[in-house]
Parts: sequence; C-alpha cells; structure tokens
Amino acid sequence: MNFFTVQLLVRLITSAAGSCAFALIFKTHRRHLFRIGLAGLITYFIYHTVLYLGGGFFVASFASTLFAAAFGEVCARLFRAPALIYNLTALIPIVPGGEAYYTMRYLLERDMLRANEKLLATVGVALGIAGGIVLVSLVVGVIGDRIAQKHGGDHGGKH
Amino acid sequence: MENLQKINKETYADDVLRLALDVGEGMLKNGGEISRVEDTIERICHAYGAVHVEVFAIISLISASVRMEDDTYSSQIRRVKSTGMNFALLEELNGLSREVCHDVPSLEYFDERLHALKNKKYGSHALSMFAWMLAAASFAVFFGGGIWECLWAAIAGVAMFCIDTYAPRRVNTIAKNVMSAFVATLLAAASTFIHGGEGSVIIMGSLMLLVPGVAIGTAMRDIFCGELLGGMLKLLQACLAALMLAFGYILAATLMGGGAI
Repeated sequence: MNFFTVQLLVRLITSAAGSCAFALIFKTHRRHLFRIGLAGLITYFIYHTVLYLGGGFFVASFASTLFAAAFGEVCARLFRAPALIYNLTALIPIVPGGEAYYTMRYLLERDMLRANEKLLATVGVALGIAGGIVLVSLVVGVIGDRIAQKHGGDHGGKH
Repeated sequence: MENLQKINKETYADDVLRLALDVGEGMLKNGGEISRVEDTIERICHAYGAVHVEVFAIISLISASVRMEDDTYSSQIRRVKSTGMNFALLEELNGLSREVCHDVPSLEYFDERLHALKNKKYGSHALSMFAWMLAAASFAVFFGGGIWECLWAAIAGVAMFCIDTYAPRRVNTIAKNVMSAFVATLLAAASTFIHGGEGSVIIMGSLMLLVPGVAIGTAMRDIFCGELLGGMLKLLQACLAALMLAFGYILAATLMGGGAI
C-alpha cells in the first residue's frame, strides 16, 4: 500500500482547514491561525504515519498528541498565549468522530462484532489523547518547577 | 459591573479579591482550565500584597479568600452558570494578569482595563457561522465525501451553529448535543433521499463539532495533575455529552425508518 496517496493529501489539507475552522469557532486571534493549521496538519500526519507503520490506535493517538501538546507548550511560551489554544485545535483532526459514528451505527444495526471493534478504536484514541496530554503536562510541570527552583521561586512557567 | 468609586483602605482586601476573581471568572467562563484559573487568582492576590490566599475552583464555582498584611480578610465566591469558548478573551485576560502581576498598577487602572476587555466585541456571528460551516464541510471531505456531501455538511454546520447560538439559555450543552446530532442525522438522511449521497460522511463531519474528545483529554489531565474533583466533573460531563450525541443520532436514525444511515 502506498504511503503518499491522494487520500492522505486530502486529509492533510482538511486537517489544517478543520483545525483553523475550530480556532475560529473558539474565537482565537487571527495571528495564531497559521500555526494552528500547521499543528493540525502535522498532528494528523504523525497519526497516519504511526498507523501505517503498524502501531495501534492508542499508540498513534498518543504519539500525535505528544507532538501536538509539546508544540502547543512551545508556542505558548514563544507567543505568550495559553497553551490550551494550540492543544485543543491541533488535536481536533484525531478526535475519534468517525470511529464514534461507526460505533453508534453498528450498534443500531445490531452488528455487535463491528460495534465492539469500533468502540475499542474510539476508546483507544480517546485514551491516547488523554495519555499524551497528561504526559506532556507532567513533563512541563517538572521542568517548570526546576526552573522556578533555579530562579528562586519566580513564575514557574505557567504564566 | 460598576467601576470602583474610590479606594478604601478598609475594603482593599475585598477590592483586590474582587478584581482577581473577575479575571479568574472571566477565564473560566471562556474556556480556561481550572488550574490556570486558580493559579491566576493566587498570583494577582499575591502581587497586591496578600499574605495568604486560598482558591478553589470547579467548572461551576470559584471560592476564594485572601488575607492581607494588616490582617484584613475577604472571602468571595463566584457561581458560573454557563461556559463558552472565547480564546481571544482568554488570551487577553491572561495577558492582563501577567501585566498586573508584573507592574502592579492602581486598582482603578486594573478595573478600567478589565471593564474594557469585558465590553469588547470578539468576532462576529457571521464569522462564527462560517467557521462552523467550514469545520463540518472540511471533515466531511476528510472522511471521504465529495462536493455534495461537503455542501450538505456545510448546511448541517449552519444548523448546528444556530442551535448552539440561539437556543434559549435554559437549554444546556447536553441537550444541545442531542438536538444537534438529531438535526445532522436528519439532514444526512435528506441528502441520501434526495440524491443518494453518502449520508454517513455528512454525519461524521458534523459529529466532529460535537465529540468531546479533547474535553476527555483535559479532564484526565486535571485528574492526574491534582484537580481530582474538577477533573471528574469534567470527565462526567464529557461522557454524558458523548452519550447524548449517540442518543440524538439513534433517535433520528430510528425515526428515519429503522435502518441506519
């Protein structure tokens, strides 16, 4: 199976567009839009790549969330904005909307086997996202504490 | 919110806490995380000379008390009944709190700036509607839809925007999720009926606007990073939202003839 398919290209473009659209829904300031689109695109690219290389849903979403959250923290420091702005929007493309839909649909069709499979995918991705966010938060918190200790208790990285 | 008339030594603690809570409440109401809200209120109070600050926040309540050097004391709460997402305002509040903690301006100045921020207009309805349309349409194409699915998803996006913006205040997020999922499914069924389109991608595209995927992530983060109560409440809210989504879809799909779309 080819890696660089038209489907991938379409998904990359719509990931970027979708992330920007969500940024606009959340009334983000215009200056963040390009970075948010870029973040969404790369996040989905990582997700797709890990899945292609054979990792499961959990690993794929975990890896891409690690990137999205780390990117968000870096941008937050560089551009003086809350990291939440970047985290939320960059993760939108991997939020399990499609898997959730199929779970519901197969449940309705009483196709329990497929419903189960899709439910596991949905939960797997959600847990991957959660895990990624938690890990990056912990790491940033520890780094922040270390910096605060060095500088004698000043602004521990959150502001 | 009235402007502070004069700075009174007796009410200094009250005024400082009031302003700090205004900032914190503003952040909470516009999408800020609980830990950031608590942190901000603490920093502002300390910047203005508080000796002891206690803040507790969950998604619907902030309770804070502060004690100054001269032992004056203030305790206030804020009840938050509805939250939205306004990242521009969140960013400005964040910036304001940074500035205030760094420069420690007079309370009147602080109050004026806060007032100006709260009265500022952030983005128009038209822009938001366009954004909802773009989001639904993008993800319909993301999941493999063609031009027709893209258009139907855009219509679904507009419908969902209208539900979100114009629903009466009494109707909370969870109920809005049911209605939005219901309407999206109906529109997808209509598309299948009218020209045999691939209805499922329309629903999937619209669903992306409702699925609380990241809310679950941030809720878990809150739980693991010290905010057990707030995190669990958020998690419960996210799971309920997801269930209501399913309910809306199943209701509409069943009404449309028992088969799935």
